[in-house]
Amino acid sequence: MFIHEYQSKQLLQQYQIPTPLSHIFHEGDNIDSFVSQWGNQEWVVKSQIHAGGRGKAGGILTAHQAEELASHMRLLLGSQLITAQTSPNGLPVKTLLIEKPAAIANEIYLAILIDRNKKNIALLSSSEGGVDLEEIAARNPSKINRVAITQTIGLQNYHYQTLAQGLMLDKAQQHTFNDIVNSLYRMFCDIDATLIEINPLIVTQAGTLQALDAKINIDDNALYRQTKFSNLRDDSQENTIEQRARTHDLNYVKLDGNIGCIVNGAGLAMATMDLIKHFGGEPANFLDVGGNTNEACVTHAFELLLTDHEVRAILVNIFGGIVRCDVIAHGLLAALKHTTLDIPVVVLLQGTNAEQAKVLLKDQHPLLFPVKDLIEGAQLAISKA
Amino acid sequence: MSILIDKNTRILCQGLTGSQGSFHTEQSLAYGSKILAGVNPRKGGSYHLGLPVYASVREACTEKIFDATIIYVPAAFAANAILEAIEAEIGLIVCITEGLPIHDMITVSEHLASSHSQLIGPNCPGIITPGECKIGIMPAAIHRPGKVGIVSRSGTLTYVAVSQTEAFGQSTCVGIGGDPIHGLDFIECLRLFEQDPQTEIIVLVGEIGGDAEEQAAEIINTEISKPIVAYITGASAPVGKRMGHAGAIINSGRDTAAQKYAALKKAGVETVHTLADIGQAVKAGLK
Repeated sequence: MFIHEYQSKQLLQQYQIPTPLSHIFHEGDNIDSFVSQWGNQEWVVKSQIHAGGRGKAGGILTAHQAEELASHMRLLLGSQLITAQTSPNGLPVKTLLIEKPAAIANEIYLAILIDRNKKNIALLSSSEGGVDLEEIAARNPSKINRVAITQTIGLQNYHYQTLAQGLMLDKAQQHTFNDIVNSLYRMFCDIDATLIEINPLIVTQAGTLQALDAKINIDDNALYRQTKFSNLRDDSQENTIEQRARTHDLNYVKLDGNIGCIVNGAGLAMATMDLIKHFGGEPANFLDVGGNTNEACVTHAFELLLTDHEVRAILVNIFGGIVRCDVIAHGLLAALKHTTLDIPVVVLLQGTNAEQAKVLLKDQHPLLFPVKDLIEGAQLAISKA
Repeated sequence: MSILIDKNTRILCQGLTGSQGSFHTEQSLAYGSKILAGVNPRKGGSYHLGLPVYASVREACTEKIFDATIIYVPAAFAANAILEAIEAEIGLIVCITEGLPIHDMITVSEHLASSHSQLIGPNCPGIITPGECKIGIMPAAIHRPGKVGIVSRSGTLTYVAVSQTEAFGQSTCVGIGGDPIHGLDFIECLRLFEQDPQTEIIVLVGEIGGDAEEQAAEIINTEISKPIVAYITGASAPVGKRMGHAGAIINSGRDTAAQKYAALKKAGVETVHTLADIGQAVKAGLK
């Protein structure tokens, strides 16, 4: 799960990690009264969306006086911000973080994340703050300090020392830096994060340390015990079909193509998309109904895809193991009962009870096309889309 | 021969009394797997499916000897179940449960590293040695004893690989699971298949995310003499989106299907780009 920059900074503040002075402004709040109260000073107006590249896309603007502040706020609030990381439609700006500009003396990179390969927690730092870690790694790998933390020993002095290498901190700053690292580790474990990235962590001209930008990802699998995060979810940043999929416990990811896919199993769902692409088609989505699906699940999946107007054909690919194909067939038929089907549906059912399922689906609808294998299915779906 | 499990493997079931545990244990018992007992902290002393239920793994281990345990308990309690099995020194732990928090898996991994146990999963279909022993949720009927060793990160794709190799049968099929942090990986399974006289060819099914396939490629040249056929799923997946499996996410652009194919190909692996080609490639590899 992703959260906004302003939410990330609120969390950092709770862990005594310093951030710039700021105001949070939501769509619908009164711009005029805000500007009359605060417009006599300089501000950085930052659009809050779940994607990077905001600065280059014009989503972060500096205001030097009141009129400029008001016009920036009016321009950004309610707009669709398109960045290199968003879809062509962009993401809606519903909230602004209005922050005091920082006088930067030095920029540091600091992050804590799960290292899936080493199966531990890694802390990274670099004197090359303000640019992407990937870029530092490509240009200047020796400037990345890395320590691995195990739960058994936690953070030790030599970890702080390693992380501070090359950062050119004086004694007082080193002390603050250690506190920040320590807080970051505690926070990371407390909130079941998979990534907390402070980039840049700045040294101000006054010599203090501040988290200027922060990105936090939280493990979806842990949300059941991180209940406070359900309030932080911003549905406006998600595709509406993705939201609906979540309420039905379907694994769904919207893609740019026109062939809808309904598949059981994440691996097979990806393989189905791959095959569509292999034969020159474009999948409209990733959709895994799960290894333990039932009739209602399939009905929901089917109805969901029919609400996506970019979908011109649907390919159903089920390899029945524990899941029985006849259950899938019943789900399809139930969906057909209360929706009008006007696009072709290519159906591949293999494995447990596939024969029964074929009998059930036979002649039920002129737009249902049963196929015998995945290649035939993918090609037929592409030709009909 | 086979790897990790055979007809003599004595199995404990943690979460036997739940609906998943009950359903799949019945299937496994019917297949001939030697499941001897179950564990449920609130139902110790009772019987379920004709099997004794103990209140803890430790208690079960004082009464009987187990070579393996299978875990069906819900995600919130699954790490606890794995740790309990590690402490009881059960040799093979198979965790079917999906949705374990990743921080829990870090705790598990730390304890696993200094233990006597091996873990398969979590979020996996389990392991089967056809005709001998099934510890998991895979459909038994599609398997038959033979010479293909299969190792896969995806459940359903394991079944597809099995059906593709129907003509040759399988020695053992291992689903290592789709989570970013899991137990046994490709490398360990490849080494086991290399040593297993029954296995003549290996099918490796990988997917986007992480670098398990690249790591496997590094040892293949020097350590694996048997032919390997590899398929990687997720070539069409966008960057930064989690494709169902928690582990199937392209994070950096360096964990794509293309990268993995390139690494495996360089190691001399026969790579196939559609599922339907697995069968043909295995046939060719066996010649």
